[in-house]
Amino acid sequence: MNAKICLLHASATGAETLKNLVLPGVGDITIVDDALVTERDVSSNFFVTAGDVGKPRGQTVLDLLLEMNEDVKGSFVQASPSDLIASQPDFFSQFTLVIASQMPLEQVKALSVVLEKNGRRTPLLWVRTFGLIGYLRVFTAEHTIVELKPQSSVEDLRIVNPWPELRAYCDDGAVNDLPSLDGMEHKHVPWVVLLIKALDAFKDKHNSSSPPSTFSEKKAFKELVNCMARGSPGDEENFEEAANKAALASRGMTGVSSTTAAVAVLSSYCFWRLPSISLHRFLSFFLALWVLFFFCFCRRLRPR
Amino acid sequence: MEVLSDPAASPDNLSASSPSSSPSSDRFWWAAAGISHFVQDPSLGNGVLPLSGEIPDMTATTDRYVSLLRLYRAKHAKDVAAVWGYVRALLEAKGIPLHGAGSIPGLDEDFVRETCKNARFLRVFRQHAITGEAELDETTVEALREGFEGLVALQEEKKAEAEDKERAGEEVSPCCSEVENNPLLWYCALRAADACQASSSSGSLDAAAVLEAAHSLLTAKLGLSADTATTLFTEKHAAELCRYCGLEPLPIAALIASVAAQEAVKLITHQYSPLDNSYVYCGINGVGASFRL
Repeated sequence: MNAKICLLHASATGAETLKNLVLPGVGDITIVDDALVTERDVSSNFFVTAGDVGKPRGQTVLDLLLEMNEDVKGSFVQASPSDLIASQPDFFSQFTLVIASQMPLEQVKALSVVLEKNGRRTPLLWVRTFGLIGYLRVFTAEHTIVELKPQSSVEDLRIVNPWPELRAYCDDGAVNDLPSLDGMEHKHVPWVVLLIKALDAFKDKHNSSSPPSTFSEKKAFKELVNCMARGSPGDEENFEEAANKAALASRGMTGVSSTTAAVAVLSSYCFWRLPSISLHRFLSFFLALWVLFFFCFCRRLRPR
Repeated sequence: MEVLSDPAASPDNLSASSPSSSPSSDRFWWAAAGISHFVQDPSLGNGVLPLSGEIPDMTATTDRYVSLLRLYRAKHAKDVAAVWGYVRALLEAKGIPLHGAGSIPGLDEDFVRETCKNARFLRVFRQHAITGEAELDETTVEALREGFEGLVALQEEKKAEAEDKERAGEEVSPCCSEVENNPLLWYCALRAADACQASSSSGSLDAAAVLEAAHSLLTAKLGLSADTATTLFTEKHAAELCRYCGLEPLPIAALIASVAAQEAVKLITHQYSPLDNSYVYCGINGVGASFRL
């Protein structure tokens, strides 16, 4: 990955966040901090030890972080983040992402203005731990996603509206004339072809030009698919698959409207909640979360 | 469809490098304009999106499966060529080179292919600015008010439940953790703490000041009654914040860091939908919630 990440304040929360990005191999990290290591840091920050008290905190954390992954490059800027925001707003335009940790609202507000104005619309992550309260805020003026990777999606197979070549393939008497196929071949006609053929038969039978739309029509269509199978129900797996996917052959299943459907489903994700968990389950939950995160993204981040 | 009808995807609004957009979203809008044209053109998509070229597993002989897959792949390639052709023509019409200086970074046939493949799942996020949230503009106030309405309703429900129990002679705990440790209240507590720290010279927190700041936020800005505000936000909240005074217990820091790193990867790779936009976790009863503030 050639991402360039900037962390403001090498606090416990900030250092942990960066660790989670250094391990899977993010490209380049920069730590901006002006604090020296104190006793208080030693008690909460995993990346400083008692021997480091009095040394620059950012440098200490950076050294230990870089030890974890030799492919990651890093640098340390000894400056106060709030001064840097005020005096050198251009400094932030080199980064792909800025993480502000343990900063009060007023400073983050100033930072977000700087990031929005620098023309690159660098996304901002604001992380805070305040006693037992954790807080995270994402800010990106405009963020575009190509690979949304929805967990479940309805395939766009153009069963309702096949293009000429697909139409021709289904109508090809040499391969797809169902009655003339022998048992073995009949069992192995893909369900996409079966549905297109069933839809033709449905339109003929009901003398209509549109695919099934009402509940009773859809039910009749499903029955029609089942009737096309030979032998007793369940003998031919491809017909069973076709019957299960029969909804794809109903009205509204054209390419564009499924997008609108996808968008509607997504907007409901915006308000998600973590299930309530008791404290003794907390550790296992965190571990699972971390392992999940690590495995999901580890390979993705490595150079191919 | 939201994306395709977005003004940013209109050919008139595309330029070499608009100062207001990031490099990664520049190429996105060019590809989106190409797909939008494809969908609208009756001789191309005629109302449908470019095909992804993928088919799921199905019971079939290898021959049949492969010939079907070939059909879908060929159509996908044809659709991509049409979209890419339009984007190229558009670039040429605007005098923008395909490669080298002045070109759109990262805009090439591979990117257009990837975009066509995912045409059904293109998405754009425009998040509410932190400045607006800090100044409590209409959007934020509306979101917070809605959250508090839910919280007040929950409180009343719990109260009724407790009364029922009392009548039945069961033991009743004096407070309800679900209401008391609601992340929404802790969000307000954090804001109150920030306001106090900004106004105090020493930077230390005073419980009475935090309590006052939180109450003024709830009543003056969010329009809750003074009575509701005092029953929801109590001395306990203020004392809890001052007790730690910004200290970071490692388990909480690690949890927030793991969620944050996950969000960071989503933002860097432009994959999956990011958090929109705030997440508050309360370690006292282990409950977190996200808000659109």
